[in-house]
Amino acid sequence: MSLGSKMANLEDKLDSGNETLLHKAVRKAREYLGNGPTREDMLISLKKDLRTHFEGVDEVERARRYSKLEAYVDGAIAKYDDNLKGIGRKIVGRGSMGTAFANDIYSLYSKAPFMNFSAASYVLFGAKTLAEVPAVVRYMAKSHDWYGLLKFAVMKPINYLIPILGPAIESGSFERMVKTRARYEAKDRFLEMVGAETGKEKMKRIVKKPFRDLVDSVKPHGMPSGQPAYAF
Amino acid sequence: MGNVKIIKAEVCSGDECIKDIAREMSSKKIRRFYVVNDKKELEGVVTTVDLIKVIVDNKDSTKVKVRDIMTKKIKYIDLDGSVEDALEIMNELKTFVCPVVDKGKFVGIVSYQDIIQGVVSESRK
Repeated sequence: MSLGSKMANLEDKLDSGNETLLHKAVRKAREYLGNGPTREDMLISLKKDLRTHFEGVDEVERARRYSKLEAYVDGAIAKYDDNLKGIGRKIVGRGSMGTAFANDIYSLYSKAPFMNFSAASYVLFGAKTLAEVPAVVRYMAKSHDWYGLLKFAVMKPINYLIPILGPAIESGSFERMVKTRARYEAKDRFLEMVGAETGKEKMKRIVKKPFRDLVDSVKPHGMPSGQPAYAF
Repeated sequence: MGNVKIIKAEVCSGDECIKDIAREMSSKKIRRFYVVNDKKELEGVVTTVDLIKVIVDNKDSTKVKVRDIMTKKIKYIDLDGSVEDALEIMNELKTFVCPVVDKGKFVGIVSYQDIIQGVVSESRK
């Protein structure tokens, strides 16, 4: 395949303008539900994020950058491939969340008292969490993704409490965390390659800023709604 | 301007009796009161653990003042300090919330999760 047709292929695949509304909706939904973004989704969203690095360069360089981006995404996915497998975790995770979802629907339909159906969901969520522990430990040893873990852990109790939608969001949350990390690493490697400021460097610069720059206003807000008051 | 929210915290004076504070904590379902003086300077913090100590020591809760049991010299985040300092203080204190002070005056509290989220969203801009 010639360089020109290879580039046209890549551009076709990655061009967000060629993306249908339905595909865009599915891609966006995958970020919050299900198993997270696919390889193609990652490439499309990364191309959007990094569009300034594809502008103002000649065609050869643009093609080189596209193929590098593809290679970085593939590399990051390969790095976490074994974390994404785990048959036991998947069976317990999918099974428990499917049962929790069905249980919530049935309980609503049969008008069972909230406590009855939430108790069953807690057991199922607990089983999923236990099944995930070894995978999370292995993933953390490899990635040191503390932000991802914090988000993953904080969302768990919230998902515990939301009927129906909670199990749907919780299912695949581990995969989404891992894929978000893979995307982040691919983006960082690309930025490093083009000589731009990487996420790590940006983070280091931000933490040196005065705390005042990070707050939206010095005037305090009321207690956030839905936040248990005793947490503060 | 970032997107980290400073949350309003409950404050009291060091001269208040702890029975009133305990009543407020119970009705508002909160764990701590920040103690400030007339100039709004942060003097300390009184928590449910301090109240338990009063019960254990069999003291009269109507006679004990907040000043007698509060934790003094508490660490806080200064708005003019760096984000790194703020995270270091929270790590050191092993807490999820921390008081925030602006030019020596108590402003409110901020959560660890909010700071981390704020840093990450800034880095994505």
